Amino acid sequence: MAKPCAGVWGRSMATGQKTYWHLLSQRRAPSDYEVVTSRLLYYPGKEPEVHTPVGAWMGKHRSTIPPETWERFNDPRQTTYRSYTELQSRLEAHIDEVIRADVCGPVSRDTLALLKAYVAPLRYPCHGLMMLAAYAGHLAPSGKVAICLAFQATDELRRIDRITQHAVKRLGADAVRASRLHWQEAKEWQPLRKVIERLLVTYTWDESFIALNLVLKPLIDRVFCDRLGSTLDACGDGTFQQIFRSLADDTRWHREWSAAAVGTAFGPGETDAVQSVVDRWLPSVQHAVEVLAAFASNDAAASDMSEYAVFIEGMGLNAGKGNASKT
Amino acid sequence: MESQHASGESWLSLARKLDWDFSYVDERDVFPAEICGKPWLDGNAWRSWDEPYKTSYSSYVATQHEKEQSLKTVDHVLGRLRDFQSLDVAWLNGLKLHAAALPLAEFAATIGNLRAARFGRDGAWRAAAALGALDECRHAQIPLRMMHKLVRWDRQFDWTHKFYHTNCWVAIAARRLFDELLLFSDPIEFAVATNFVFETGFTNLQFIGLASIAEESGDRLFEQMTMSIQTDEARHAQIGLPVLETVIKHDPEYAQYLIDKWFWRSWVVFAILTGFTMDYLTPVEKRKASFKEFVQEWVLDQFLTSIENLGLKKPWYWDTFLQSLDYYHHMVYASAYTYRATVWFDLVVPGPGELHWLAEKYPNSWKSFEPVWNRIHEQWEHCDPGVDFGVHGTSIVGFCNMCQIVLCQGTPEHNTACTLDHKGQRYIFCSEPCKWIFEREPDRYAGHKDLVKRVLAGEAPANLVQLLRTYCSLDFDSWGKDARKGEYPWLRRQPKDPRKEEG
Repeated sequence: MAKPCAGVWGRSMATGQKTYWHLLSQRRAPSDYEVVTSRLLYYPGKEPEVHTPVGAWMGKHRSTIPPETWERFNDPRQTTYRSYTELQSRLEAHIDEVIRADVCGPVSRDTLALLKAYVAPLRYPCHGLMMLAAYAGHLAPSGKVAICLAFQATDELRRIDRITQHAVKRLGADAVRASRLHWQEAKEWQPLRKVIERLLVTYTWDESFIALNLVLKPLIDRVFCDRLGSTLDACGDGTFQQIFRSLADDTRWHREWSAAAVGTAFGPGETDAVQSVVDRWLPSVQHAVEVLAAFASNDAAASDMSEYAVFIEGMGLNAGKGNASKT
Repeated sequence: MESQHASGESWLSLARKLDWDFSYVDERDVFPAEICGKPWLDGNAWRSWDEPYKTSYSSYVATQHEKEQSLKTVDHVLGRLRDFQSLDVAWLNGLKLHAAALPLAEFAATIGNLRAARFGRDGAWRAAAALGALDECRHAQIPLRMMHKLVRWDRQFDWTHKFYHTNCWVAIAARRLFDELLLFSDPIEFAVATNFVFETGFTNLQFIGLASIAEESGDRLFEQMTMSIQTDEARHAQIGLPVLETVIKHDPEYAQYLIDKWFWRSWVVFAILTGFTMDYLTPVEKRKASFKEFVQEWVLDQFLTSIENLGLKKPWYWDTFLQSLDYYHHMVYASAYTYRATVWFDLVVPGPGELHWLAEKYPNSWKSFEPVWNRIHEQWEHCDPGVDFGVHGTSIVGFCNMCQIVLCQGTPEHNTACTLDHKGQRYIFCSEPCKWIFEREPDRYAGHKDLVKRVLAGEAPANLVQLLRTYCSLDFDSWGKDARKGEYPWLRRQPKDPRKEEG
């Protein structure tokens, strides 16, 4: 402790304290990621200073896992705002190059049909995915989780932008605008729309987050990014595949950090609650994927489900009591 | 403004206006009134929401990456420890005040924006809010990173992160504001209060006024940081106006209420944050204008014009506000100086040069404050340097049951504290506007205990030192002192009489 008169500035010149208060117990120099992301939420465990309806909502729907447990979660990519904008601006510059190199020759009728039926309407479910990420983010049990979900939400915005931009180039603005009707009425989209709409009114944080990031996104992202990309490539539109490949990088990270988050928050003996959410949502998501991805081969669908099973089993869970192998 | 898109990119609105008609659930369940805010309107009523400058994701990350790189370079060149050590000690304490007040409040704004990205009533509004959430995350991370290296030099910088986690009375007041403004507010109130009033109305004070003073004071890092942040604010502040326009169309009385409420609440926080720094913690020779002059130039005309253009009236308490422009931050500063051990930064006594400047800038009010500072000068003249408790308040102070700041409105001669009886309880307020805000929505505010009530309820210790140490997370090393240890060359400190010491 400094003496009252010590130091040129009236304060001690060397405090012996090497980092912020909440990182001292680590007894090591914190990483940049830890300095700028840890314990950013001040309200968990505190009585709110104001009682608003939103505050009551948050209290009612928050995660059942205590905030101090969630605070132990670290994003495996250690994403900060600085690293995110650096990484994503690089990926976006790459897409700009891909689009610049795109020479739009005659587009086959099959390709146009695919673009109209599957690509242009994709903007709507992706917007739903953005809303769902934002919901989980605003109610996130720790600052680090909130940051991952904020970046996930804007990754969806990225996907929407690139899909729209390129679809307008291929189809024209009017056809893209008209795809709202397709999303609302075409049979192939309805099971997915139903899942997304039901998920939008699922407000309990644990259920909303698990259904989104452990069930819906891992499966639907494969369809959106990989299957649609390779189908378009087979039809001669390789540019779209390159765009989707880059977008798939984002979704890979969504799976990685979600698995890490669930692994941190739910101990080996506590996965029943997670499994029950997976069981509840998987059948309808699988059905939505099957109906939507009719354009892809059966082999591709089976391969996606096996990959999903590996992902989910990595967390000590199972893919819907054998559903994976049946598909 | 950066990152607006040329009108040629017509695809962008097709990537933003993405609402659809729900078939499997009810719209009222997707957008419940309790979390979306009022007025609750059918989705079509919100479809006119539009922003003048649209931003694509691509342009966002490219621009923001450039800004981050540029700030990284500036930090590398200007953010060394010796750069901070060369700053005036008073300015440095203004920096501590800002460093603590900003980052975790900015992160609370990330949460508020994420809520708007889900429950905002138009797709384009939601997308803008998602980018706004990222901006606010940036504004939390920049100061946390920049100030981290200063903790080992001065523990008060630990409060850059710690402040909102404590029960220091200023933190209670700050949470009282930001809980309602950012963390637990619905997207409509958030857009009007944060984006329109707070960001459009007031933040120019910080980003233009204070940035120019920072440059003058040699704190180029702070200047560059605030200017870089300002470019983000200018973009996402756009969310507010189109929301407000729709509220005015459907519920003008509520729109007027939100403006009146949030102008007052924003004013109180800027009076302290910016007012302290501009009129007390900036070296007098570096000051360009007074806080009042900055408010007049950067807030009043623009704010009044913008609300009149919308068909709204200026807040009903306008005369009270104009009077507080002459008095309020001076009242709080004198109070904070007197109770400086209850805060995490140091304060200075204005000397003859500063007093002359303040008298010139505040001709209507300064004569009321002169006796306050003359008394403090006298107290220091009878105290040894560094003995802060010889010049420190000891009695219990009262807090406003609305804003949770000490009862400092009005003038030194006439404090405007007033009371209200509500459901068998008596509440006290610093001013009529704070009382009026409480009365409009008592359910939000009535259940709260101020610091004194917490002491009386046995939740916090009554002994001041114990209160500071165990409840407010302050200790001798970190609590506020006179930044110059009371060693002011202009004090006429009496030499000690050796005969008295012998006696």
